[in-house]
Amino acid sequence: MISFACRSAYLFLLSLILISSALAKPATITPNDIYDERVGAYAFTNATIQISPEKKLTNATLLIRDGKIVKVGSNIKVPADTASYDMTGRYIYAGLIELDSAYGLPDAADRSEYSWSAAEVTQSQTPGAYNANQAIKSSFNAADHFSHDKDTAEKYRALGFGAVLTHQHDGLARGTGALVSLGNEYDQELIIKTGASAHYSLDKGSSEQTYPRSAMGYMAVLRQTYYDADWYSKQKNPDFIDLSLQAWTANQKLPQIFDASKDWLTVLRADTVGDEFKTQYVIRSAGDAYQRLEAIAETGATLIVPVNFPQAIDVSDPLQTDEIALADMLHWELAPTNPGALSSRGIPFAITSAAESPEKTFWKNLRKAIKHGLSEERALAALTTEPAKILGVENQLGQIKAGAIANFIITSTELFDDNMVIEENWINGRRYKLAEHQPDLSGQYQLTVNQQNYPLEINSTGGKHSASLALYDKDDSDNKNPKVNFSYSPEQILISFAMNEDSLPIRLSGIPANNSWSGKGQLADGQWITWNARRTGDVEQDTDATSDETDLALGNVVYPFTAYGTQSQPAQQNLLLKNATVWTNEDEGILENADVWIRNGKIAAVGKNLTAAGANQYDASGMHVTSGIIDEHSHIALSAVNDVATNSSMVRMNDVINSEDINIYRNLSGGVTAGQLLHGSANPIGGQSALIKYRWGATPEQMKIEGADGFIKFALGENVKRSSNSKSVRYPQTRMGVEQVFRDSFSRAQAYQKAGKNKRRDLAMDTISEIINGERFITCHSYVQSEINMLMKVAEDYDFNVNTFTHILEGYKVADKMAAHGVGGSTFSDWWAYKWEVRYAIPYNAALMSQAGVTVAINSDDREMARRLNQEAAKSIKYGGMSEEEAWKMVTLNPAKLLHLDDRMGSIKKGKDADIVVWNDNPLSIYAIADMTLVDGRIYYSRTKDLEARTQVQQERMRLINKLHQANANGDKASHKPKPQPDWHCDSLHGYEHLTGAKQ
Amino acid sequence: MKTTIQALITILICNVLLLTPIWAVTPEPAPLTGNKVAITGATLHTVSNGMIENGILTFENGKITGVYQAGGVDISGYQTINAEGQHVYPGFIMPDSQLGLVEVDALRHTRDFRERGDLNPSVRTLTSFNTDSELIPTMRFNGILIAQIAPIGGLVSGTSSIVQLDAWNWEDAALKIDDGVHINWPAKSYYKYDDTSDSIVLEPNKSYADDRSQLTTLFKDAAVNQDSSNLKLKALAGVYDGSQTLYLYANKPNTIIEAVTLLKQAGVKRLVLKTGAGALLATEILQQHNIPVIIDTLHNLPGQDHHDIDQVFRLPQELQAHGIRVGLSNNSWLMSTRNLAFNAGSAVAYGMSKEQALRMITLSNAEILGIADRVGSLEVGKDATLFISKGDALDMRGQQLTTAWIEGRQIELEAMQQELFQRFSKKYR
Repeated sequence: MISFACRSAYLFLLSLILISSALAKPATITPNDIYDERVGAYAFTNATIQISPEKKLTNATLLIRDGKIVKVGSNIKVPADTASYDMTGRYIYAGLIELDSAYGLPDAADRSEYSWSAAEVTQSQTPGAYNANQAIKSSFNAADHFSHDKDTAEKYRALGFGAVLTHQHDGLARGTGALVSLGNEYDQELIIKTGASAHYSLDKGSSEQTYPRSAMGYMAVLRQTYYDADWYSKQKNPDFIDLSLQAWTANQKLPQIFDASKDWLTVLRADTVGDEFKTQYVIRSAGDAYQRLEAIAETGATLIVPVNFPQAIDVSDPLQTDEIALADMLHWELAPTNPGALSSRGIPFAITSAAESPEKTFWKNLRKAIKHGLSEERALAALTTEPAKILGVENQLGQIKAGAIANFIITSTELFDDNMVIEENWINGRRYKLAEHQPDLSGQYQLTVNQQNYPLEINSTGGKHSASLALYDKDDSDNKNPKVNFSYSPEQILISFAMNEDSLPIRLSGIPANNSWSGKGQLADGQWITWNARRTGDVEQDTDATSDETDLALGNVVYPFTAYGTQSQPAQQNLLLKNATVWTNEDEGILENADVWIRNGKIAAVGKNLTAAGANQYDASGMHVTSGIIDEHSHIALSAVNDVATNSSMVRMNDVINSEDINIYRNLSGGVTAGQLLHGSANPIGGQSALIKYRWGATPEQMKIEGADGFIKFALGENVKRSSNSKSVRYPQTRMGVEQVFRDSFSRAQAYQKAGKNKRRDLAMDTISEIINGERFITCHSYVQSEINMLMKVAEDYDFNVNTFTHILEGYKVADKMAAHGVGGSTFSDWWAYKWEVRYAIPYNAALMSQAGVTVAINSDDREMARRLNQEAAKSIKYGGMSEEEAWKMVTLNPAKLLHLDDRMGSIKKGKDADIVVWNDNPLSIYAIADMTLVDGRIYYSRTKDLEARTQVQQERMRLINKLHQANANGDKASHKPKPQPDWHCDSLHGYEHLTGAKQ
Repeated sequence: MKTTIQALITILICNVLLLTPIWAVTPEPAPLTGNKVAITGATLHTVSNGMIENGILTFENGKITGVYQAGGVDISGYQTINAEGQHVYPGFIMPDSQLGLVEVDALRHTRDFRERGDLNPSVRTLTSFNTDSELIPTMRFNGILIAQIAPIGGLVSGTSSIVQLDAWNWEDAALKIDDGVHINWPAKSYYKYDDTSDSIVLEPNKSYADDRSQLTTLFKDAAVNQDSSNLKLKALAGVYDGSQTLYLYANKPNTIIEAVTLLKQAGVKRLVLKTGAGALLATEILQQHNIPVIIDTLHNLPGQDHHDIDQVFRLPQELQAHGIRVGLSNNSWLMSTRNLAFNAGSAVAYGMSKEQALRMITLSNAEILGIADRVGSLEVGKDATLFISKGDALDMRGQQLTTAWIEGRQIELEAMQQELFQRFSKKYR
């Protein structure tokens, strides 16, 4: 009731405003007045008119009528019924168009925070016949909910915008946007276009449903919805109604706009989804696309980019400055180059004003972007024609041409001039005056007050005037010229001043007339006097003021965009490692004084006294050469690890590879060259794995191992039954239920495969089908013997084998059964005691499973331990007396076997990938460190290069810190907002548990 | 015939021993036999006096009686242990551990290391220390024979004690009772995860000023109220006369500087800093007040992306280079505590000498904990708390304990984990 009352009062107020401005109103509305309709015909003469980003007319005339542009050009005759405005010295541009806004829409609901200790919400909480996933809000139409918002409209207008695309920023599918006008009119008139666009994101918004809650889950839900909508739309008589799917299908014909404003990784993810469904999204990106320009260009997407450049980080405390990431400092420096870089690369884009305080930063940053390489033409296009093109409204908006909506701005100077003032913003043929036109009054004047003369100097910049009495020379440091308070309008001039701090003021009022000013004033004693002023000459130009303060010496973009990133990928080596101890992992065993030849990314030869034409020789005497370590179970280089759904087999870790993780580099420094990036262990059926090589600096796509088999994470035990969460409601809650989940999935997948062509495509069932068809392989998180045995029996009942048990801490108890089943074990060396189900975990597990004939790997599941996997393997020498050669295979050849990569990785053999580590000692020793790590024959890490890189990192940091300090001194200063890297484990929800968990 | 019977009896006894489910409970504490023991032929890592190859070490009644170079030493009447080719080390000392205060991290029922409230100086770990913890044998198996049992949490976590790891009960275990009080200096900001934006945000700690004032006021009041009936004040008496150490946890340079300055001003005599790489930028104040450091773990990542990849591995050396005494813990996870020696080994990989690395986890830790008169080196008069390893005990390739003694009592090294190994090893033979 209250909101209704407010709205009524508001409409009443609005009607007052509208009636006073007396233009056409919706014909259906009856005024509470007599009719007052006018044609609204105006001519703007003698103007400089930028009719399009490319074309400028000088001394031109613009005619508008009834909210539309009638004509623009030179030598236009102004019709008799048209009122004229003289625009001499002024500029006219098309009104700007904002594409990312929620203008005039109700706020999206807040979502209650999800944590591991909250009850899961397994179903959508939205009442009604909507999609089963609450984050699919495709039936929301912005036009249905839009209502004029005077304050926000005014803010947009002040920036020069005339139209805005508004949509609700809530959900993975957000429904349609409405293109609306930013005037103060009836809502009915403001909407230019309903259903102007369809919107998507990788952010669940207000959805309370637990699934999805990760980027990979968001992508999976969008994919499923594409299939569902297609299937649903083909049903002749659907047996249920899904309004969201109906809307989804209807929305497909609109411009598809995807909000990926988190970072450029999200842009690539959005595009991946689009590619699968032959949809090219327009993508709203963050301002960081310059960090991966090529990958962004390859998406083929038109972007919507912000100009919300970061403020300079406060570097006053050197101890705290050490906590500022190089990436944050470099982004501060390079963010202004983003629009220019996109433009140079030929990536089409529109610019959005979305930012924390656009009123303070938008124009300043646009000019900054132009100083950093964006052309004025492209800048204007990004604010006018590009957005119009994206929405398919080129005939209505974005240019000044006949037939278009009369949206334009009048400015005091050229648009991107430092002193530009937007004086008027005309929207739909209505005038919104923003600033009084201020002529350039700069000059020397003689001011005569009461017969006494004063030399007056006026300077005009950016529509503002400053005045002083020019009594002394400017260089005179002893005497300062008295300031004069001065304001100007054609109706009144005000001047007041005092000769010095101690004297009393003289106050004058006058009007401009006949090239001079005159009027009356009052002296300090109350006496009324007359005064006049006349211009006597120009102001002396201040030569210093024109110097450009922007320091355009910039740092380089490095890949990844972090410390130790490089400008280009290292070259493939033609390299002969001489006289090393070579751990072949083949029948030859460990060769002393042997050579390894690396060429074209492969091992070209292994043996003694090799000669290799053209190869660089590397004296490796005293060193040990091994194949690269392969981490069967890792969570580095990921943007998410767990989604939460009993069966999350539709999510793909390949979707969320994070190439920017410093831990890739740190792993390389520990000799790790490849890994299986696993989904977490929150669900009995987890997500599909990503198999990557640690190609530091490559894009997520380039890191993937070409042609690798598909794997999937399963999980058993305490995590999947949510034991640590007393509020958990999700099925299953016991190990008994876990078995049922598996049997149910496999049975359903069998039925699914037999179902007819018209079946609903189900991505989870697709994945499970792959498993039972032997096309995808299970790595199963497991602890106690009962559950291990159970999964093997379930698999056998469905005629396939489990590929690998990971963790597998009680594997030693059923190792004979594992060997018989043919499953491998990838375990920790010595973890135990952290929860109940690991009570009988023993460090002899690897040795015992190995003894029973199981292929055993030692894995990390931990970004720190991952770089010491060689040492973890060595623990089986202490615990169980394993031979050194066998121990070493547990982190190289055996994981390669478990990942089906042993035909190309895992040993030093001619023809295999040159994923090679040179160690300074026996690699199993605690004293060994990697001297050099190669992937595909490229040296991604070497101790020597690392030591050089440290110096470079330090120099680059200091360059940036010094520059930041300068910016701080100039008033650009914001406290540091660190963005630490997540630390992912099997049981991570968001990866920041190590930071938020209270150690203290 | 006689030999056959003896052999049979031996086999029988062995079998009985093997069949006995010794893992059902933790191993029985060893008795002190009063035997005079001589270990011969081994490399003695004395720590205090270098390495003696082919040395002889003797002990009696729980105390070391001789550390010799072989030759000319009469060891008749001694139970002789030939350790040729092996290595003798003083028992490793683990500072700042929750051993015996928790059995299974994830189970609240088993957690006894953190009392509620902010100011708990009087809360003592000793009386909760569970000598029957199943984790204890896993420590001994890796050479850790002594540990400081410390509380965590709050601003003043409580009072620690130092124990030896073979005892019937906590009274017997105590090596140094109530050796020190452990505090956490409040941080000025903390990280908060924002679920809505899926991002981590650094937020100012709103209770920072309060926390800091709680601490400073407590130390101000305790300085002049040592006979008070207030247990909290009374528990701090020792930090002013130096009979107790104040263990400060802080790992940001600014926090370290602030905390040390204020605690020194408050009159704290013996201050020890528990820290990580954050101490690197606060070395001056540590040097100035001669404050030793216990590094929490070396198996840790660099603090920031731009930090050297070996920053933490090199940390002990870097601090030593500034004249700071360095001890080493490994307390990130209780289960991993047993890898203390390999932490020390990691420092060697990045340039520290093996002797220095070994010293960190023996004599330096003993000195910092104030127990160097009893343990930490192979020296005449010190406790016979030591072990024999087949190889280099800092390297997993070499560490293989064959025998260990605590105060002269030969302890059982094997326990549940070894028993399970043997059981299944036999099954898969």
